[in-house]
Amino acid sequence: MKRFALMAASAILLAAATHLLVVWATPRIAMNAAMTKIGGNGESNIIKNAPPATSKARTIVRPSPDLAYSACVLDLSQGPVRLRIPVTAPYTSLSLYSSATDNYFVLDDRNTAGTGMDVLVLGPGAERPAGISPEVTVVEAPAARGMAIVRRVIESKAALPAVDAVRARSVCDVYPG
Amino acid sequence: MRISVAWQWAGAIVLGLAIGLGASLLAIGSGRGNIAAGPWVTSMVYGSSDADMYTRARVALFGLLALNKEQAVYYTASVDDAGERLSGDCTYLLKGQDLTARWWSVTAYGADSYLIANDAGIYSFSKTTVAREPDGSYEVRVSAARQAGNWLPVKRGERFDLTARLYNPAAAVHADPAAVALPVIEKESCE
Repeated sequence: MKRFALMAASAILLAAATHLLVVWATPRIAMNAAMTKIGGNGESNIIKNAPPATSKARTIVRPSPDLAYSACVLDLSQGPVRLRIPVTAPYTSLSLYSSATDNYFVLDDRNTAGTGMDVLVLGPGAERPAGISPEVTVVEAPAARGMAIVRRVIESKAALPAVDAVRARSVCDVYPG
Repeated sequence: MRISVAWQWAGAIVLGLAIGLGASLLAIGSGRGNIAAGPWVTSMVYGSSDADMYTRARVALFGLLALNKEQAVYYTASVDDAGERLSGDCTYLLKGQDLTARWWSVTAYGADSYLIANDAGIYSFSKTTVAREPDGSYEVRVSAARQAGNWLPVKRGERFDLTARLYNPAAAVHADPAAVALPVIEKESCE
C-alpha cells in the first residue's frame, strides 16, 4: 500500500515536470529552428533580403506573396546591434522577437516621418552607449539571441525593383561596428 | 515479485509522462480564441512582450513570428458562405469592398499551407492589384480554370483556403473583429 502511494506520487510529480518542460521548451525549440532556417548558415548580425514567396517557397508555412521579407538574426552577446532600415510605401515594419518568441518591439513607417528606421538593440542589462544620437531609438532586448524581421508590402509586380533597390541599403551591424 | 515491482514502476513512469504530455497538448491547443465573421475566422493569439508560458507555446505552434495585432490582423476561410469546404473542383465568386485597413490582401493556400503553383504566377489579390467595379467594389473568381476579369487560381482536385490580411487595421477591427466586412464567398459551379 505504501509502495502504491509512492508510485502514485512519483507519477504525479513526473507528469507535472513533463508538462512544464514541454510547455517551456516548445517556443524555444520553434524559435531556434526558425532562426536556423532563416539565418542560413548560422550567421548573425547581418541582414538577409529574401525574394518574395512563390509556390516554390517551403521555409515558412502560409507565406505572404505580397511582402518582401528581410531578416537579421541578432546576437547581442558581443555588444549592441544597430538596425538602419529605409522605408518603402505603402507599408514597412520592423519587428524584434526574442529567442522565446516574445515580440518585444515593433515600429512601422507611420512613425518614422520618411527618414527611415534607426534602432539600437541592447542586450539584457547592457548600458546605453554614450554619444548615441537622440534620433536613434534604443531598445533593450529580453534575451541575447533573437531575430529582427522587416516586412514591406509590394504593391504590384512592377513595384518590386524599386522596393529591392531601397531595401538593399538596409544595415544590421554590431555597434559601433 | 521483483519483476512485477519493476513493471509497476515502469507503468507509473509511463503514466506520468503520458499525463504530462497530454496536459501540455490540451493546455496549448485550447484557448486559441477563434472569432468568426461569416466564413472568415481570426485567432486572437499573437506574440506579445509579456506573454505567459502557455501563450508563448501557442504562439510558437500557431503564429510564430506573426505581426502583432496593431500591425496586422489575419482572417482565414476554409468554407464558403453556405458552410461547405472550399474545393479546387468548384468556381467561387468573391465580392467585397475595400477592407478597413491601410493595405490589405487575400491569398489562396493549398492543402499543404503553401502557395498554389499556377502558370499565371498569381497567388493573391490586393488593394492595389484588384480591378474595381465603377462603384469601387470588386468581384474575383476563384477557380482552377482561367477566368476573365479578376482571377485567383487554385488547384483542381484539392481543397484550399483563403487568408485575408489587414495591415494597420482600423480601430474598429480590434473593437469588434466579428463585425468586420470581408468578401462574400459564393459557390457558382462545380465540375
